[in-house]
Amino acid sequence: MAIIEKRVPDSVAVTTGPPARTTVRHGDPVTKAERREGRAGYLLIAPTTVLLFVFYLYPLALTVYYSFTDWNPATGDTKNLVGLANYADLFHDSEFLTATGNTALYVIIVVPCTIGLGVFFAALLATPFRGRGVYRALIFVPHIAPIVGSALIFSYLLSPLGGLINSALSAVGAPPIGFLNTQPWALITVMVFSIWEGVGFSMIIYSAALANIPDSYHEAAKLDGAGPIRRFFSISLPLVGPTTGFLAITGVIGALQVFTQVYVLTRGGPLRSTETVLYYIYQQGFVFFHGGSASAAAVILLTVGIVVSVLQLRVLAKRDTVELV
Amino acid sequence: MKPPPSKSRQLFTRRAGIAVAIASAAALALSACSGGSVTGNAADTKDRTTVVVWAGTSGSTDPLRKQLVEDFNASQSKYTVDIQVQPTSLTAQARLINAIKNKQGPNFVLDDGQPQSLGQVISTGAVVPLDKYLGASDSTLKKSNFTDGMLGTGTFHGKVYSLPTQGGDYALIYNKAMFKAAGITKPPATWAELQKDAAKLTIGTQQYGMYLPIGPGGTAPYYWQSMLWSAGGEFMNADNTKVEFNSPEGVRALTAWTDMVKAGTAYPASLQTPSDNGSTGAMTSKKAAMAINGAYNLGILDKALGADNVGVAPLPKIDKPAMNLGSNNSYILKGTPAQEDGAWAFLQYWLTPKVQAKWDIATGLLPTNIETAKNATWKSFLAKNPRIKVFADELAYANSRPSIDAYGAISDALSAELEKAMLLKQSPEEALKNAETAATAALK
Amino acid sequence: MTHATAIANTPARPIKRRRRPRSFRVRARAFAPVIARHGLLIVGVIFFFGPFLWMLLTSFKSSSEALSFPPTFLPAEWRFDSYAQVFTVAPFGLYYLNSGIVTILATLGQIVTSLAAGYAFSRMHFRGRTVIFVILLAALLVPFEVVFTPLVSLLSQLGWLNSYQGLIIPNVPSILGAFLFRQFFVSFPSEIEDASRIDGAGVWRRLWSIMTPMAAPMIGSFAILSFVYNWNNFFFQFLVVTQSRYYTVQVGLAQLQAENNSSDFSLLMAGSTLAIIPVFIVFLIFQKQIVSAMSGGLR
Repeated sequence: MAIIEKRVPDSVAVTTGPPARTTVRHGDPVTKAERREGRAGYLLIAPTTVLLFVFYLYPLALTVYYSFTDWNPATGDTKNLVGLANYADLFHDSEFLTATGNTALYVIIVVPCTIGLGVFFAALLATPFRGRGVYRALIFVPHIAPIVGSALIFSYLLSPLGGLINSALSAVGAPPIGFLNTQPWALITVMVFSIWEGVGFSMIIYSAALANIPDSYHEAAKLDGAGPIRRFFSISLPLVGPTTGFLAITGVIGALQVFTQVYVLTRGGPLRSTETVLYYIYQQGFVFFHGGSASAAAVILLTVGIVVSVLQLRVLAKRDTVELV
Repeated sequence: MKPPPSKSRQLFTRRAGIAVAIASAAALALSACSGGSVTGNAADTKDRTTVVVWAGTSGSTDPLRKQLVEDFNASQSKYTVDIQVQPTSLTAQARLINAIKNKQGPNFVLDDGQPQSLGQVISTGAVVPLDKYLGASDSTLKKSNFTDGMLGTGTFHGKVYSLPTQGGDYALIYNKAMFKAAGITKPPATWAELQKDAAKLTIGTQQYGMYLPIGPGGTAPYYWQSMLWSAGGEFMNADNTKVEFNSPEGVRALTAWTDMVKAGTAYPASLQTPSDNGSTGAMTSKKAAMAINGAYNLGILDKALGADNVGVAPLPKIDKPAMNLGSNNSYILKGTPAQEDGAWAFLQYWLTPKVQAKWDIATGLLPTNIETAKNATWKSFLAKNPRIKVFADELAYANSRPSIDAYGAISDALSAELEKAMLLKQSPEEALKNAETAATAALK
Repeated sequence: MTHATAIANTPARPIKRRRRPRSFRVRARAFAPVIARHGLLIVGVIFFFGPFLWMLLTSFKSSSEALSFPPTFLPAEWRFDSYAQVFTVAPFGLYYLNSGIVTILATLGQIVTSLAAGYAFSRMHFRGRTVIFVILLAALLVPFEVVFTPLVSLLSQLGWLNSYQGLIIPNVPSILGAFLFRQFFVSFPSEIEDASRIDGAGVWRRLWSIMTPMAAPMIGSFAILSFVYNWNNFFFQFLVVTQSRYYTVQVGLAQLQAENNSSDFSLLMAGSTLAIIPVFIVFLIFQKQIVSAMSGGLR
């Protein structure tokens, strides 16, 4: 995972010569000064690391353990180790496989759209003008609303019984669309909802990153005759590469865990076409109390997430747009 | 180059300070105007034992429930019931189990909406079996106060763990104006008649004769079980070890539904989202002339369609009348003997005919204690509300769903296959066969 | 070409200039970007904010009109009792206080620990830096719905169920925040910091006087996001707290929903609106922070 390269710290290159080791792990201290400071580094990461280990990684380890048992969350007994039986059952369960397919499709579409719209609106709002704050606030609102409430509104607006959208459609003579109860509209609608909810997050992060681009870059380009669109693609977008990398990784991770909106909007229907892996896990864990299966599915989700994140990190590091590790 | 960002830092900290100040001031102001008694947690007073009761919100009847609880507290001096409204959520039962295991649970759960899933809670060992209370000579509640169906909703492994405190069933609701327009003079009594009436009531895709519970969730199995029983079929065998709905009777029961979808007389898609609200939405939007629904939705239907326009008839039979029970049950959790006795005292109070009459008149649900049928208030209410009487009369022959741990999984499997069949993606025979396979796997 | 030479090279007087006013087409083209921008933004606002406008209007409708088909846009009769009802059905004032305490403290905790960790992961060198970072990244992949049972047991053993610390402390670590700040510092030129290091400033001094002010835009952004996350963290709050004394606004909102959601839609809409308002206010306060750049002061 580490990118191994030869590194010579700038401040000591000439006077003390290169360090004894020719290959250095990127994060390791090299000079004495760095080593001294490194200790402070441990202190700085301590709160985050310790708390995360205690409250997330320890329960995660337990979950991995449970995935090899027939754990019942209600009674709590984990007497029987069943080895890989839970995993094998999952691969034979058509419901799980459907959920996996749905989740994959969902991730592939939702993440790029959310990021793309996020940078788009952030760029539109990058230069100051009157009313900018208002626009920004209004576009951000979906992200701050409780998902259950938003999903209920969506559900009502899209109702086939004459919700606002369908009323408008019938006003122009078009047949009503069952946005949440027909295939493939149901999955599309869930995706649109998630994009709608997530753009605000991307936009805010990109706004900070775009604000960091020194004005002089834009000025120079303007003098060279570049229009706003050209400047966006040649200057802004490349320079926010690290941000894009960050949003891509966290976006995928978040999308893999979509649940609440599926439950409120479609309950996984119609015909399980919107059921996601986490929804499946919820069913197994909370409705049927098959803790072992739920844990196994969670471990699979986790593994996929790790693999995808690592791949993303590799791709981004190679393209040199981001120094991530 | 020394960066001088002190200005922005100042601005930042000042802004942060303002934010915190506003937030604290607002919060304090709001907590002051929160009005009424905060549902804090009453400590035990010297002589009275506190009985902590968990209940979900009952909407507009919450104040009445509070009042009834206060009446109970005032009527005796041994126990104080502290009712704590719990948030509705998908994981309510898991939360309850977690609370119990971590010693933060209640003494009594009122009106649990998923009584057939109680098996999981029971397996934690925390639910108190009620047989000894029901058999005690000084208790006002006996097993004879309940029909077999009612008792069945709370019986697990031969013991009574919960008692139904809110009864619900369903019936055929129909739009009288649409009936008149189609020239139908009385509601159908058999399912064959219903199919004929539905054909008369269907106007292209603008209005459908019937709304059937197509879609995910527990509603379809809940409604369909009555069809199965009405056709003479059984859901499970006597000792709940095998499912028996994959039978000729089962196929007849499901075909009765799928034929209507095929003929275009039943609304062909799902309306099971919370905002569409299934059967209720189908009728309030005038998309369907008939639907299956419970008594508690009559209020909404009346407001939308006009009370004179909403008719209620017993669920039409295939061969014989049948009905399913949707009860909310209450149960006692282990605690000190005083707390358990207090919970039992409250449960008895809640099930007295007087209280049941008051509560059910307000909520539109049905009494579970047979004695309530003799209560004068309730009888006069029924006389004035013949529509509710239809629901109440059905209770006499209503069955309960099987009380087993695997019921959730079985219902879910059946629901998925029923949905597929009703969306005409598979035949009724295939649907029941697939459901049987999945259910059998779940029972292992 | 410097500015000075550019001026020097410009002729004193434009050579050929048409005296007649610019045509409409030319003027329109000059305004086109502005119109296009506003147009796109307005479409965006309708799409993103439209449903909330509807939520707001619905909260003023009677509960039967709220779910009527066909839907009405403006209320037929304006009813304000839903808002009052929110406070009588449940002690929402107390819930706001709880939410405020929990959210503000958790957010502050997240900002401080994430800033420190982000700085350390990006600018400091210590053994195992990479490995630890990747392991923490894995924690992001943990869906809460899966691990909450052992987590709640742990909290119970600590005696932290039904307490403020149980609501706050597990939410203080934010690997997302650490990742965010790390990215931010990584893409930052290091001259300023190197300069002050040569000047003799130690780690803490550098962190406090230089890195934190420089990170102001990111702090502002993260403050908003962290506040939103902690304010809306329903599932966690729902599980950790079973006594209404500690309920937060989100848990209270769930209390407003009966088994069939239709029973009081306008009440739920009123409650949701009230739940959004504090977060919205926080956003308005901090949004300028996002774009205060390091060079040139506030934009």
